[in-house]
Amino acid sequence: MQTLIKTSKLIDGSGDAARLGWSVVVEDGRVVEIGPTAQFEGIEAEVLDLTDGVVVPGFLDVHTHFCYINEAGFQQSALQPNKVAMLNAGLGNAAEWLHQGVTTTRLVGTPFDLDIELRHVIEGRALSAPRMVCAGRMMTMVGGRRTPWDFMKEEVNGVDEARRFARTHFQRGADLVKLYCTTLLEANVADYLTRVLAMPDDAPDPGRWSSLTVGEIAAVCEEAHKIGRTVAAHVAPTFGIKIALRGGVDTIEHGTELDDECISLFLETGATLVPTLSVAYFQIAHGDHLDMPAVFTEFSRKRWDRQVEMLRRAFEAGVQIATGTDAIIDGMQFYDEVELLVTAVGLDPMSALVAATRNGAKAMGIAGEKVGTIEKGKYADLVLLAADPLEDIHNIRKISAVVKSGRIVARPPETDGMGQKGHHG
Amino acid sequence: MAKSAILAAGFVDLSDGGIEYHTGECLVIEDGRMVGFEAVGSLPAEVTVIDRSADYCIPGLVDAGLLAGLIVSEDGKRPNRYGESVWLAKQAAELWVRGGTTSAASMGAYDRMDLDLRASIGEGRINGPRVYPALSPLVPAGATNFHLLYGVREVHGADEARRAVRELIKQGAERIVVYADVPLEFHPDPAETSRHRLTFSVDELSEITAQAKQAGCFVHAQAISAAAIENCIQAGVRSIGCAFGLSEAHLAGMVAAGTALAPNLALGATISEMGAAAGFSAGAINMVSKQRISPSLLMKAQAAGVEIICATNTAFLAGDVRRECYELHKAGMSTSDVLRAATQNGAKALKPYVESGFFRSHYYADLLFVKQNPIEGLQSLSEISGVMLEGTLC
Repeated sequence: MQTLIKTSKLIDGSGDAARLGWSVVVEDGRVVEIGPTAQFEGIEAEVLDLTDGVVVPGFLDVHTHFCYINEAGFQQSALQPNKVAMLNAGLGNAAEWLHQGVTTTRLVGTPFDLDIELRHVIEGRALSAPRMVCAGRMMTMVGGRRTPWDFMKEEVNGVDEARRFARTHFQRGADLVKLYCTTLLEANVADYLTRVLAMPDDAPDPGRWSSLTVGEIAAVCEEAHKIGRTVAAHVAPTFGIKIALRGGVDTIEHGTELDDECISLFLETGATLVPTLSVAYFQIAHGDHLDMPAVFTEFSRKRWDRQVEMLRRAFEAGVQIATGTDAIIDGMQFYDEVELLVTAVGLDPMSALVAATRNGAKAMGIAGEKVGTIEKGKYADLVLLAADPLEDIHNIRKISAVVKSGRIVARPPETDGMGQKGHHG
Repeated sequence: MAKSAILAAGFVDLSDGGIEYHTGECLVIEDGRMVGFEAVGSLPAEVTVIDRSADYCIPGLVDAGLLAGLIVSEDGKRPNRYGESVWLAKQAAELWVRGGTTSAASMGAYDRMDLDLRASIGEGRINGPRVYPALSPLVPAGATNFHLLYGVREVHGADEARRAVRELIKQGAERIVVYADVPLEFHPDPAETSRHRLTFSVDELSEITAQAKQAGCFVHAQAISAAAIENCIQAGVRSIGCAFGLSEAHLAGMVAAGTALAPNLALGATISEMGAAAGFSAGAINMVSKQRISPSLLMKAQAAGVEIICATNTAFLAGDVRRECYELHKAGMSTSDVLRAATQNGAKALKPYVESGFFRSHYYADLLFVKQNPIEGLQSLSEISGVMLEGTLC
């Protein structure tokens, strides 16, 4: 049985102008036809009326850690973290993100590959959750595990080991490889940040860093691309961004310290930037109430203006930007990331919507082929907003219904503009 | 935490072998533990009274052995991945506590899942009873065909047994579970299945119990054959489950060694109903459902002074310890004896320092509220109106 989803205003995520009075025909969860509603008169189909608002594609959060629990005692468990608790947190966060209109997520780093386990449970039990693209554990260089309890990463040394990691990891069920490209080898990060803050802006970085080599990264990328998979690179410092891009990664995660050469490399390689602005923003906005040294907030605050300025330049130069929250602090929400692209960086609302939908999908290889835009052949993942996000990007919070595979899966309660509770970690 | 006091129609106290009803008194609790009974009129003004005056109250139920790591869902699906096991255990834990189980002794789990489940419940992340983790159950070396492969650890000889217990204790086990004998294969004839088994020696079992004792832990053994039961008794294990090969000849030894009996009567019924759907072999179903302790032997054991405890030993989402209670009652035990088995006897078999199962000062305020007096009929357990775990209503 087909479903006819009627809309009054439809933004398909491609960046094209909104369509007025269009409908979408869905069969087996996929869009089979799209066009003016009049075209489908008399069609034998169940009708889903989404005309009371604006329809946009389901959102993509391409940088999440659903199973992360943000408690110092928990992270620093002397033996190993509680996997039951992490899976339980994952179930809660998955349901929560779906309520925020996120119908596809990319989980970029989970200890013990628990994200793959989480997806297995959610799909097997048909639980309410976004689609999940899973990276499992991360790959880093020898010495890249910052602490004995850093169970999120596996260390490699050399091209051969890197290639072996990639092959083994895809066999384990991962959709992509997440690289922890650069590691700050400072035992006391707060102390390091204090030193940085005391230095002039143009002084060289006083930190001791280690990084994967271009060769190691390239080996992983080659293995991934051969089978339509992708590679995401966690990296903040400028030199690391360049190494990762030269290695051929598909996405740069965070990329905090962009420079003009980085921007050129993005354009040359076609890589996507996932700036995860909301982490720094959340720290700046709520740092006084967070259980972390004040210097973290101070550092974020000092770097913020330059970070968003470089991001604006990257966008204007044509670098593809996608939304990822890195929501590891309780209270963080997906909406913030989209809104910040408009309010802080200066993107127009349509570009921010494209970043939150199509761009993330494009950066995910075969895992993103069927999501991100409302078009024939893709999953009918939609969000009905009560007000037009092109008029005010904050209207993305006004979710009336979340549709996944052509069926309503969530009708969030009326929010006060702050959305729901946030991360369950 | 402030003091509170619970007012009930009656607190059914089964201590000291009798039945005492506390009426007109409140049970005072503080910091999740019981303080004692006080007359209603003598309560200080600052004490919050929790009015359950329409309910009878007994201590929370103790399931002295359940398969926390291998829950089979109601549709018979067995978990085939770690995440699936966790999800099912989460559902099961909620059902257990709603069914009145406040203490759950694990029979073991893959990858220390029972330990993580205990912590998750303790931290309020998951709703469920207090779990006593066993981590990996110990089996005799060579038991590779054992059908319940959920993280078992093969052990051979006293040295390996000692090492295994030491490591389990260090990892967080609060009890040691051994499968004292395991089948080489499940023969269609249950008697044959009981005969051809790999069995722990007395030496191995004695080393296990000695190491566990030093660490303040009890050993629970699942033992099928008469020889395995005999070895367990000689080694001084605290409790024996299944015990299909139990005979009158064992009873005096059990009493002398202080070994309790978990008849696991519900196991047979549950496996009969759901075992095939869950993929258990015909031989396993045959053995478990046809070989169980007879009512007459159970009553003889009780009369001889063997402590009877309630343990489901089941892997099914559908069941909880109440079913074992009904089966024990059907086999001839009185309601009060069944309730003792499901509360105080079970609690005493969990660990040397008893902390639940009785109305006693400093014990956990684990309580079960029911609409009818449970002494008058165990069907009251099917009408649970509230469960309190460590002073908090679940």
